[in-house]
Amino acid sequence: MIRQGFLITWILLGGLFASAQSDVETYMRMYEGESIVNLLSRTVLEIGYDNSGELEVNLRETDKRLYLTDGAAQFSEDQVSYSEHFQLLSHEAYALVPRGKKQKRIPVTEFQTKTEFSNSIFHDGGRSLVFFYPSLSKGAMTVLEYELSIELPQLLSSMFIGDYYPTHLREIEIRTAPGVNMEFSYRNADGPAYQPQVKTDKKGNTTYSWSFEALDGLDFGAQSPDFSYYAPHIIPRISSYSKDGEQVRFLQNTDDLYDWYRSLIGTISTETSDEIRVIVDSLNADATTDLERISNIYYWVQDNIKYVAFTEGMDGYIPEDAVAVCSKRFGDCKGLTSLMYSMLEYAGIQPYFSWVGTRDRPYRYEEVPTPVVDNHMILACSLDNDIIFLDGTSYASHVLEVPYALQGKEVLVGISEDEYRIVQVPVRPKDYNLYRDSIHITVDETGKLVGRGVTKFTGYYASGIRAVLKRITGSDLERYMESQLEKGSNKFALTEYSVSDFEDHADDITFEYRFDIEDYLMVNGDEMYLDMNLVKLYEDEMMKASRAVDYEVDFKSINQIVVVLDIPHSFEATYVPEALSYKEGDFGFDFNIEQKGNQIIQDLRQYDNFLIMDQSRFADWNNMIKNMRQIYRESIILSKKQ
Amino acid sequence: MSQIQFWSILALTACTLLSASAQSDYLTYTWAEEPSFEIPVEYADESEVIVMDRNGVEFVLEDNTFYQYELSHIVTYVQDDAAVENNNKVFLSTRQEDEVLFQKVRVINRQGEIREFDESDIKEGFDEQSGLNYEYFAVEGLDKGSFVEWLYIIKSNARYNGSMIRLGAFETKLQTSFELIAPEHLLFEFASYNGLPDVKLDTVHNEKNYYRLAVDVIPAMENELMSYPAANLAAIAYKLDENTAANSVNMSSYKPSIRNFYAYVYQMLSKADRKALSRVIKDAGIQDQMSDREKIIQLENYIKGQFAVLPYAQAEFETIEAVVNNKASTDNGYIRLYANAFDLMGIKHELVLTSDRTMYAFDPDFEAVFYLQSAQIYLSDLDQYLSPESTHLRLGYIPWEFTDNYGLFISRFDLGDLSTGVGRIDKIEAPGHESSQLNHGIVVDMREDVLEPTCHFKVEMSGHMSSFIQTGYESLSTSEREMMDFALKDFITAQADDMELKISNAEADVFGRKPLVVEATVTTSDFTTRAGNKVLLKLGNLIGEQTEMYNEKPRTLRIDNDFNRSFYRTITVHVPQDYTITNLDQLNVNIEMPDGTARFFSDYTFEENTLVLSIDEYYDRIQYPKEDFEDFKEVINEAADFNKVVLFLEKQ
Repeated sequence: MIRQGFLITWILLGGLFASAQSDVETYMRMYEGESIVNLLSRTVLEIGYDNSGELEVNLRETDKRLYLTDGAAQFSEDQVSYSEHFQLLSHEAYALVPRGKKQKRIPVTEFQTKTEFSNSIFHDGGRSLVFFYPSLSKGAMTVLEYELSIELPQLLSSMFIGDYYPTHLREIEIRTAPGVNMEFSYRNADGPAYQPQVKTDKKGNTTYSWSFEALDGLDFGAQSPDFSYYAPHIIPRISSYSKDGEQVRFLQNTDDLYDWYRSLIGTISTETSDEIRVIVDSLNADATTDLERISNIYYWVQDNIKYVAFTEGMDGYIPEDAVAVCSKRFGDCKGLTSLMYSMLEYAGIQPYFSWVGTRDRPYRYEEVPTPVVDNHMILACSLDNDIIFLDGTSYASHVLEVPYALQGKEVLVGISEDEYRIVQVPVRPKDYNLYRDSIHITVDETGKLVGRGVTKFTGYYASGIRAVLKRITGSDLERYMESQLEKGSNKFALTEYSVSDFEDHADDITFEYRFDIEDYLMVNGDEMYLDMNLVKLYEDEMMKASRAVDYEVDFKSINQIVVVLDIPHSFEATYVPEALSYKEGDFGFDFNIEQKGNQIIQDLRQYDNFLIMDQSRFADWNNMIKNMRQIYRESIILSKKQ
Repeated sequence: MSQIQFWSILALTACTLLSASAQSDYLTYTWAEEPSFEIPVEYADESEVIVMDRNGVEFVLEDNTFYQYELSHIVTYVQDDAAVENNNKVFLSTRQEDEVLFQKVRVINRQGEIREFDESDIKEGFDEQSGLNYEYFAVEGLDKGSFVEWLYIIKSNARYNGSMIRLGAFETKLQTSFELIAPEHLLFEFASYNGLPDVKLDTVHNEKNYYRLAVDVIPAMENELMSYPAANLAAIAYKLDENTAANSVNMSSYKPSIRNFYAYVYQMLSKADRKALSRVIKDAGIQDQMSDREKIIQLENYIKGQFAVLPYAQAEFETIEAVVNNKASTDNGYIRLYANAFDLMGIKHELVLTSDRTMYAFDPDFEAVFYLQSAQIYLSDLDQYLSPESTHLRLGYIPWEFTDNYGLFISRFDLGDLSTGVGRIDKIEAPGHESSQLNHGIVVDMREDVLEPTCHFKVEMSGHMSSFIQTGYESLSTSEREMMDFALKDFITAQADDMELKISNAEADVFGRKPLVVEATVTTSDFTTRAGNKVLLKLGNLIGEQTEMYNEKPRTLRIDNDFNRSFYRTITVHVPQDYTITNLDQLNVNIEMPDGTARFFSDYTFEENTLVLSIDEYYDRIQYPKEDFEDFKEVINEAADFNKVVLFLEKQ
C-alpha cells in the first residue's frame, strides 16, 4: 500500500495551518455572509495491488472548514459513515480555535459508533462514527481526515466539485500503481479545466490530479432534480489492471459491467418450491393469455410480498433466492425480482434480471459503465414480441406501467450469460396522467352551496391514489377523502363519498361524492356573488425569485376542473367573466366559461408537458400562474329576476 | 435530553433489601405450545388489534443484588397491508447494561399454520451516543389475517423508585394486564391514569406479593385537535414504598434525588471549574453595578449566542471547565454553569425538575423519578424561569411543554457551614396570553386603484410566536436569510412575491423584551375580486387562514393548548370617495368563554370613507375539560369565520 500521499497531505495542511489568524481574517472578508467555507476539500484515491496481486483501493478524505458566524458551535456535531464495503481504516478530527493571534489545536478525543437505520433500509450493516468538535466559535476551523478501504474496486464513487457551502480549494488525486488504467466520465464538467494533470513516475505509478479554486456554494431546492444533475462531478473507473503479467479488463465498457453483474446473480437459485408452484398454478388456473399470467403474478407479489431491505455483506448486491423470499413474504428489490423471475419462468414466460437507475441517476450505461449508473433491480419479461418491466417494490403500479421514477431511464436487460440489451423506459405523455374533477353545484333554499362531484385519476395519478387506498381504512380513509376533496373553503363538508374498485387494477380510479359549503355564497341584497373557482389549481405555485435550481415534477400531466352551476330559479346571471388561455411551450391552460340555458359551465384545463423545467422557463411559468390567478379573482353575479 | 445519564445523577442511594434468594417466575414463562387466538367480530375490520398484552415486572434479590425481570408478551392481529408493514419488523431497544434473556416471535397465519422465527435472524445494533442496544429482525411469513406473537424477557438492575407503563395505545387493545411480583416484605405503591382501575394486591404466594390489574378492552386512542393523545393514554405508575423487614417507609420519595442532584450541580466543583466560572462571567461582560435582571440577561445572551448544546450525554463535556473551554455541552453541563454562575453573582434561584406534559403530566401526589425529566431554573426574586438548554428561548420563557405542570423545586438549605438541597412540589404556571402575541396592523389603501390597492402590513410577533426566528436570524448565512425572508413573505401573503420586507428586532438579545417586527408594502390584486362592476375585498384573507374546528366529531379528550397567546389586529381600509361598503354589520362580533379565559371580539368605525376595524382575540387558559369543548369551539371558529369575511364595495 502506498503511504507517501498521507505525508504530502500533512505537509500541505501544515502549511495552511501555519497561516493562523491573519489568513483567517482574509478568508472571513472573502466569504462574508456565508456561515461555513470549505477551505480544503481533498480526495485521494489510491489504487494498487495487495499481496496476492488483486486490486486494493483506499480512499482518503480531508475536509477543512472555517466557521464565519457567531453560534458556530451549532455545527459541532459531525460524522463519518462506513460499512462492510467501505471499511474505516483510520480517522482523525480536531478543531483549530482562535487564541489571540494564534490558533490552538484541540483534538476530538471521543468518537462514538452507532448502527444506522432508516425507513427504506432496515438493515444493511451501515455504521457511523459520531463526534463533536470542541470550542467552535467564529473564526474557528475544523479538520477531519479519514481513510476508507473500498472492498469492491467496482464501487468507486463520484467525485463532486462543489458543495452546498462555498469551497476555497478542491483537490482530487487518483494514484494508480503500474498496470492500472483509468477511465473517467464527466458530468457538468466539460472543457479543459476538468482534464486531469497526469504524471507517471519512473516506476510506472501514475497520478491524475485536479485542482479547483473558489467554488460557489451550490443550491438545493424543493422539487429540484438530484444534485448530480447540475453539480459538476467526475466518475472514475478502473478500465484494466495487470495480473500475472497480463492486462485484465475491468470496467472498460458496459460489457464488463454486465459481466460483473452477471457473476453476482450467477450464484443464485431460481428454482421453485412447492409453495411457489401451488401459488402460480392457482393464480393462473383460468388465465388464457400471457398478459393475464403476468398480471396475476405481478399483482400477487404486490399484495403479498413486502419490501424490506434487510441485507448483509454481498446480499446488498446478490438477489436472494426466490424460495426464501416467497416463504419470508418480504425482500428487497433484488429479492422481489428473483421471486417474480421464478414465478414467471414456471408460468412459461421468459423473464430477465434487469438493472436500472432511478431518475436521480442522470446517466446512460454507455457514458458511465460503473455501478454509479444504476441503483435498482427490476424484472423484464417478453410479452408479444415486446419487453415489459415489472418493479416488485411498487405495490400499486399497473402491470404495464413502470414507476414514474424510472421514466426515460435505460434498463440493462440481462438476456443470457453473455448477452444483454439496453432498453429505454418510455416517458409517459401528459394525456396518460389525467386528474379531472367534475363538479355540479346548486344553491339550496337556505343559500348554502350544495354539490356533487366525480374525480377521475388515470395513469400515475391513479397509481399514487391506489397506493394510498391500499394502506388506509376507517377514519383514516375518511380524513384522506376529506383532504383530497376539500374545495371552496374550510367549511367544506363531505356528506357522502364512494371510491371505484381500485383492487381490480383498472386504468383509472374515480371518486364520487356529495358535499356542501356553508357561507360560501356571498349575498348582497338582491344579488349573489359566487366564486366558481372551487379548486384553484397552482394558485401558490409561483417560482420564487431566489430559486436557483431547476424544477422537477414526477410526471407530465393534464389537470382539469369542470364546474357546472344550476342558476337558482328566480335568479339570472348578470355577470360572467371571460374566457382566457395561456400556452407557452411545455405548459399552459385553457379556461372557458359560458352560459347554456339555466346553467353556467366553466372548464379549466391545465397541462404540464415536462419532467424538468429549467430556470430560463420560470418567467413564463410565473406568467401562467399570474394568468390563472386572474381567473381566480373573478366571481359571477346572480341577480334576482325583476 | 439524555434521560439515562440524567437518571444516573438522581440515582438511588443504597438501601438494604433483605430477602431470601428466590428465582423469578418469569424464567419459566413461555407461550402456549398450541396457540389459539381469535379476533372478536366487532374488531375484525380494524387495521390492527392487540388481542393480548401481558406486562410483568418481578423484583428479585440474587447474590445480594437487586434485579428486575421484565416480561412483555403481546399478540397483534394484522388485518391489512398497513398492519403487515407495521408489524413485519420487530425492534427492541434496551439500555446497554440490560440483558435480553430471550426474545421470540411467531406468526400464526389465517390457516392456523405456525411459523417461529429463527433466532439466528436477530441482528444486533448499538448506539454509543444514546447508550442503547438494539435487537431487531424482520418477521418472516406475515400475511394479512395473521397473528404476530412476540415475547421477551429483559433482566436488569432493579428500577424500583418509579416507572411508568402505558397500557393504552393507538390500536384497540384486548386482554391487557399488568403484574408486579416482589418479595413479601417489599410493598409497592401504584397510580392509575386515564381511566384504568387501581392495581391491587392479588395474592401472596411463596413469600411473594402479586399485584395485578387486568382490563378486557382499552379503546384505540384517536387524534383530536388541540390535545396530546400520548398524555391521555391509559397508564400505570409503580414504585417501591415500604420494606417491612427493615421498617423503612416512603422509600421512593424525592429525598435522595434532591440530595444527589443538588450535589451534582453545586458540590463537585474543582478549582479549575471555579476559575472557568469567573472567566465566563467576565467574558459575558457582566458588571457589578448591573441589576440582577441585567446580569441574568447578559449571561444568558452570551452563553446562548456562543455555546452549543450537544444532544447526547458526554461526561467529558460536563464539568464547568469543559463547558467553558469547549463552548459546547449537554443540558447537564449548562445547568451547572448557570446555577453556579448565579451563586457566584448572588442571584437567588431554584432548580426545577419536571416532565413534558404532552407525554405525561407531573403527578404532584406520586413521587417517582420518571417525572424528573428535565431541569429548568426558577429565579425567585423575578418570579421567572430560565431554560438552560433551550437556545431559542430567553428569561421568562421555557419550553411550553414544561409549563402549566407541576415540578420539583430544589433550593439551598444551609446548616452552619454545610449546605444541602431541599425540595418542594409546586406548579409551574404558564405565562399569560400577553407573553406570546401575534399582532397585525394592516392598512389597505384603495383610493388610487380600487382593484389593485396598496397594502401595508406590520406584523409583530413575540414569545413562543417568534422565538425560533428571533433568536436564530442573526446566525443565518446570507442565503439562509433569503429563504427565511421568503417564508416570512409567504406568511404575510402567499401570493405576493415581489414585496420589500423590513425586519426589525431580529436579534436574539432582545427576545422577550421587544417583539419581532416584519413590515411589507405591496400593491396587489390578491385581496380583491371583481364581480361585474362590484368590488369584493377579501378582508379575512389579510390575516390568513386560522385554525378551525368546523367538522369535529364528538370530543373524547380534554382540550390542551400549547401556550397562552393573543392576537391584536387593526385593519384600516381607505375606500375611494365614490364607493361605499354595503355590508359592515357583520364586523361586530363578541364571543367568549363563560369564564372569560378565551375571547374573540371585533368592532369598527367607518368615518370619512375610512374603515378602522379592531379585533382582539386571546387564549389565556391551557387546559379545559372536554365538557367545555362546545364553548371553546365557538371562539376558535369565530376567528376562522373571520377569515371568510368579504366586504362589498359599490359605486355610489
